[in-house]
Amino acid sequence: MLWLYLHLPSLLLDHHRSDDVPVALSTGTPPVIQQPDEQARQAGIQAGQSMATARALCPQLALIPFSDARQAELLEQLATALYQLASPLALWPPDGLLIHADRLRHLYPQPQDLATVLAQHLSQHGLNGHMATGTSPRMARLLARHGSAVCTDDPETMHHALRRLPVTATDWPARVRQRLTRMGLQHLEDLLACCPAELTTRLGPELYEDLQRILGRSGDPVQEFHPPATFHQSLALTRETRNTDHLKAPLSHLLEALEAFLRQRQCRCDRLSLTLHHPDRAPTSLELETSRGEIRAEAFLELALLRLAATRLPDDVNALSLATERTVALDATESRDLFDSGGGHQSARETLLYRLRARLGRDSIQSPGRNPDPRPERCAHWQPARERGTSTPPRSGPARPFWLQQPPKPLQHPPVRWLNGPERIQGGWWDGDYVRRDYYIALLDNGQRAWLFRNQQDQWFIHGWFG
Amino acid sequence: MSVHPRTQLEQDPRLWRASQQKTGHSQGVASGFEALDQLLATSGWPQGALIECHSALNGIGELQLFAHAMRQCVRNETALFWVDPPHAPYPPALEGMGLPPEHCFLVRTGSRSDHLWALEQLLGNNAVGMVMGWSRRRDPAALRRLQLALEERRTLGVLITPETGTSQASPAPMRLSLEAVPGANQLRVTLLRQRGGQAGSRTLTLPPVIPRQTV
Repeated sequence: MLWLYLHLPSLLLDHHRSDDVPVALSTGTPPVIQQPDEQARQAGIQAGQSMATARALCPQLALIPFSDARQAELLEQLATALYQLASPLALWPPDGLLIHADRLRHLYPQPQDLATVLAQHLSQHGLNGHMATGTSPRMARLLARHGSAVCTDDPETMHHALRRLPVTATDWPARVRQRLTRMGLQHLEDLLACCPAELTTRLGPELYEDLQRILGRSGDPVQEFHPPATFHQSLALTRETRNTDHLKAPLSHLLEALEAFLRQRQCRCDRLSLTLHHPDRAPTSLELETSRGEIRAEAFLELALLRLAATRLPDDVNALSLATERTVALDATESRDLFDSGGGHQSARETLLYRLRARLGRDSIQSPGRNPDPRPERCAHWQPARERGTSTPPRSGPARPFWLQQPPKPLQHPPVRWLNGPERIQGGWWDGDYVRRDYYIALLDNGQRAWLFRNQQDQWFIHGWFG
Repeated sequence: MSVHPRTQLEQDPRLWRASQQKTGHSQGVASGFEALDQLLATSGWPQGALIECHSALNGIGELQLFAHAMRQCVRNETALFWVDPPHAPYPPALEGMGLPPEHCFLVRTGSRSDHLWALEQLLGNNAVGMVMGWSRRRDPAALRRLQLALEERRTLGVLITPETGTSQASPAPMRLSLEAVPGANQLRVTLLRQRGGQAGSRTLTLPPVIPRQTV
């Protein structure tokens, strides 16, 4: 068995690192520096320093509180990205990934090849990592954490490196390590030279069993990692802002991750939820919809910016999160081909409708609908537009006004000329709103062509105008 | 150095030449009224030029004027958008005019900036065949923006505004003023200005409001 362990000593710090500001992680109460980055270290910041000291040494230092949840999220993101490159892999929280190198032999004949690919990915994403191989998961982990860059499939070399590993570099409890050092057992080889029965009686059976696991002589179950089926990522902003221009860069970063996610799965997303987190307020949630499902980050970005421009943010934003609400499988014919052929008017119209909807709101774009009711005010309505309207057969019948006056207005002056009528409309006995009206079309004294009716009480009303 | 006065005159951009008049029929959509088509330089409503239409009242036949163009637009499978009309168009009447519901869209905006944004988006989009917009206020700067969006497109853009301000300058290439003829089923169309053509006035007899035929 061959395992490769990837140790990420500064995952959270690397994520927050920027070129212009020194960054450090803080932890505990009262907070102390946990991990400074290279720039901060040059300014004299060290782990364990108090906030006051750190601020005095470097006033522009950006402090990020360490968060277990965030670290776990980042580890999972990295695993998702590496899933394409090195598939049977497992998370080893808080800061490691274990790759089953044996099962990748057909892709990477030598462990060194795998290590090169991984190192390339890490440097592309600005991450620091140490890698080592081992014949057991624990062995690979101990070697990687110690920083011995063993990358080979030769068991002898790995065992040799393990034997030279200091006892202090193991992950045993501090009490045990201290005891071993006091006993004069400096390296693992000293420990291995001891008689097993002696070790068990002096240090307990757990240590001996653990040693067997490290050597790969007893099994160590590993739970394989599989990327989640839906996309959910969040991004903390270094500076709180409510300016749309400042939100654009982090947003496009998230959307690019989404694009990669969708491309990997060969699917499109037609509904997306973007959540803007505020420091002391309930988050603002925005829904983005696209016409036929979209993959491209720039198309999502355009919609998101339109949506943001139409939204009043109640407070500054300190984090963004993005989740897919619905994804659809990409048709084989729809994949990005050489000739990027658009669907003509129909798709251009759908894109336009979604753009309008993103800024004006979902219900602002309406299309006509029809109800089976004889009463003019109830027989038709406007409803939120659908993407693809269904065509209905044209209806024939008496003329109807273009503008319907709702509610009807009492007629003030008698019309100057009658053009058509009467037409009796009655109905509504089934819901208690019975109407019986005689409709006429007439020319009013101001030149308007009106739709008039006389009700049962002989009162006259204007119910619409012919435009 | 002296410049010949005639050359100077020829280079003056304010000079309009009768030879520059567009005679092609490609850019116009017939209005359905022969008398009006004869007056219009493009033998119909011009595409890609904002039509500013002043009308004090609704229901005097202002839509009849454009009904033929609307039908032409849906026949080409392009969409017809109604932006902020004074009342919601009545769907049975749309059907009666031969406008199938799948091509008609009503856009309601909440603010002036959204209204202009929506108009600009629609006028600059090739999927849109015709835009009927209603603006409560005239704003020459906004009209200029809309005209720029519409330029070089094959979209018909009609903006109906209240009659106030007809004397003000406007960046719209075509301006009309509509008036009902009292007592007669007629509409007086005054063409205040048009690109490449003369101003003029016509009185049109509106088609009678009769029981509809199946289209």
